[in-house]
Amino acid sequence: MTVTAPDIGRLDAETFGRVALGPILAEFCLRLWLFERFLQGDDAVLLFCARGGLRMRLAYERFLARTDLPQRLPHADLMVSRLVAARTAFDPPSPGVLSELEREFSGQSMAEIAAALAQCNDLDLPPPWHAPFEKIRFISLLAGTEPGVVRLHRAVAEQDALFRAHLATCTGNRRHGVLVDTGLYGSTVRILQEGIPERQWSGLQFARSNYKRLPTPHFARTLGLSVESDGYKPWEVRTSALRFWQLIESCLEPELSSVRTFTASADGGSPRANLQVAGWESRIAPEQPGLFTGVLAYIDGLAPETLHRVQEDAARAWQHLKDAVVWPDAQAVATLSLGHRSRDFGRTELRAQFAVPGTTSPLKQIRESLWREGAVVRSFPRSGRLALPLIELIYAARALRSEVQALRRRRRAI
Amino acid sequence: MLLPKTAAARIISCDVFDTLLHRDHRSERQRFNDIAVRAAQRLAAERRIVRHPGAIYDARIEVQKQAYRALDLSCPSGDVRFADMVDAMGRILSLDAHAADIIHQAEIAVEIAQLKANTPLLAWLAEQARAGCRIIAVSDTYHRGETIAQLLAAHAPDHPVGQIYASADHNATKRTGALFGVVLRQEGVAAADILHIGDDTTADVTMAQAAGLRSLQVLRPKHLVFRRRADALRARILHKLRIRAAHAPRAGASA
Repeated sequence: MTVTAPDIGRLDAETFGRVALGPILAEFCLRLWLFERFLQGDDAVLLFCARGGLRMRLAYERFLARTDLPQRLPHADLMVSRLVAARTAFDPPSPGVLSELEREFSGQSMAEIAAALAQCNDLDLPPPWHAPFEKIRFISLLAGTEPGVVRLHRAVAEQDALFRAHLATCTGNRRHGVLVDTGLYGSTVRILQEGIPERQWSGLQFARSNYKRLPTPHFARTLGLSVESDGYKPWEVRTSALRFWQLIESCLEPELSSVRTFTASADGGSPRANLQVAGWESRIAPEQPGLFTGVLAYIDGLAPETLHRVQEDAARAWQHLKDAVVWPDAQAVATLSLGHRSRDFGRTELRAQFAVPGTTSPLKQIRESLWREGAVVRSFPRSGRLALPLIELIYAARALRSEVQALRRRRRAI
Repeated sequence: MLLPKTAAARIISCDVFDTLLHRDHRSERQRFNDIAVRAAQRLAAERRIVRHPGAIYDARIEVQKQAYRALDLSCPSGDVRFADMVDAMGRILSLDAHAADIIHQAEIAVEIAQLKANTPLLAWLAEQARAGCRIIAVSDTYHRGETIAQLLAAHAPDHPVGQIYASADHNATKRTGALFGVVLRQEGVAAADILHIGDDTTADVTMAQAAGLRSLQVLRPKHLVFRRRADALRARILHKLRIRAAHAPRAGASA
């Protein structure tokens, strides 16, 4: 099955999933298989991280089945999130945890952070905890002996112990956990390396990007199999995924809650995460046609004798993705409209794909939208497309400037 | 290339590529392209299998890149084996084992065609061998020792090399020092009794010296290094143009 340019008049989410995201994710699966094929030793296990990793595993195992490629390593679903990982490196908080907290809870109080980590709103922490987050202050407050602080430590430790028990079930006697996830910065890999150093950790992501501009000690062991770039570069078609990253996340994340807490099993089995509600496995694949059903349709069309077409299909698909994301028309904006996206890290607030009209100026709405090109075409249906070359030009100048800066840094390092 | 009159060593260890056997100005990418073209021709002629040379080239680049990245995560001191890469290439190009073997053979044929014996060095080594020195070859390569032996035999049938240590055979490389440990154990001599000759600053000088060996660096001319870089750029651009041309006529075709 070779994919070709879609008929734009009939472009719906499932078609876009089959024509664009299907070959792109099949290419990712191929690269993941090469990793599995060439990872040496028998100490590794592929851990597909909730939530995006759950669909990645579904797509990957279906890809292996359709193409007859052999599975060499064990696979498991790892119930993890940045919040869960942060608890492993909380006492005392590691540099990775502090960086994440500082970025995610900017301007919020340390009591709010404590509530998120403990998943408990009645810790009754002393007044200094209600000040905005500050790394040094946070560390010193954690050393306190007040009842609220003790409750915080106890809650985090209990949850961490349950996660470690779940991890042990997933890995068996294998020490090398290879985390398979969507991306981008790889906070989970970084924090687990700090929190559970007795194990070896690697990350194989769809995309790797230091969009947070934080230190990257984990990048040596965290790879972006499909995209590796700190930003969009107009001359690298793959980086267009970073222009509308939420599209990839939305395709891969099932309608399940992010992992926040674990509950001990009454029968002595492995602890269960809040995500693992009754029937959770059947909810990984969507019921309604959409982007991911399109991806699976493409994968289902593969066979050992057509596997050689994946790379060629993927090359075309990346161009389709770029055309839709960077140069969208009204049809693409309608097709690729997403629901609200979760902010995560233990919080329940959602973020809209497009900033709400009327509450702020159109330019601010565009700036605050998850997909700026889409927001431009949506806000200015007649003239919006004329502004797209200007946006592209701005990104080109910005990317060129950071390339020059990187070149200078490399020269200074030599 | 300045060689001492005598090696003053019991064993002379020699790197293979760009030391015993010289590569020409062609870059690795150009070599992969030449291999892909030859393999595509043979697949079509002998097996009636149509694979675009660009697809074979892409598969090679892809497999080699991911294989070495996987190695870095799991066994950084080891090496990848070419047979494993051919197996993976065969699968992703939808080729059976016999068809995949054509890729293997194309690689060896192109290597033989593009390598050249370093005659002055081989003559000097032969002289040292006659004076009682044992000559060994130590190479960081995905090829097995028997392939290196085949390449040496094709270009210097009377070469004095008594033993070949290939990183792919021992899953240990010079660039991490692990292969020198293997050499010392198997040869059963003190490190100071070995003179290692090679072109690579890290693998053949720094790591050899770190293992206690004496080292001698033989560099290729600078103009050759620049020509290879230019050739790599040329190969990359030509490949992109070829792929674009291959895709163009099918862009409007139906699924």
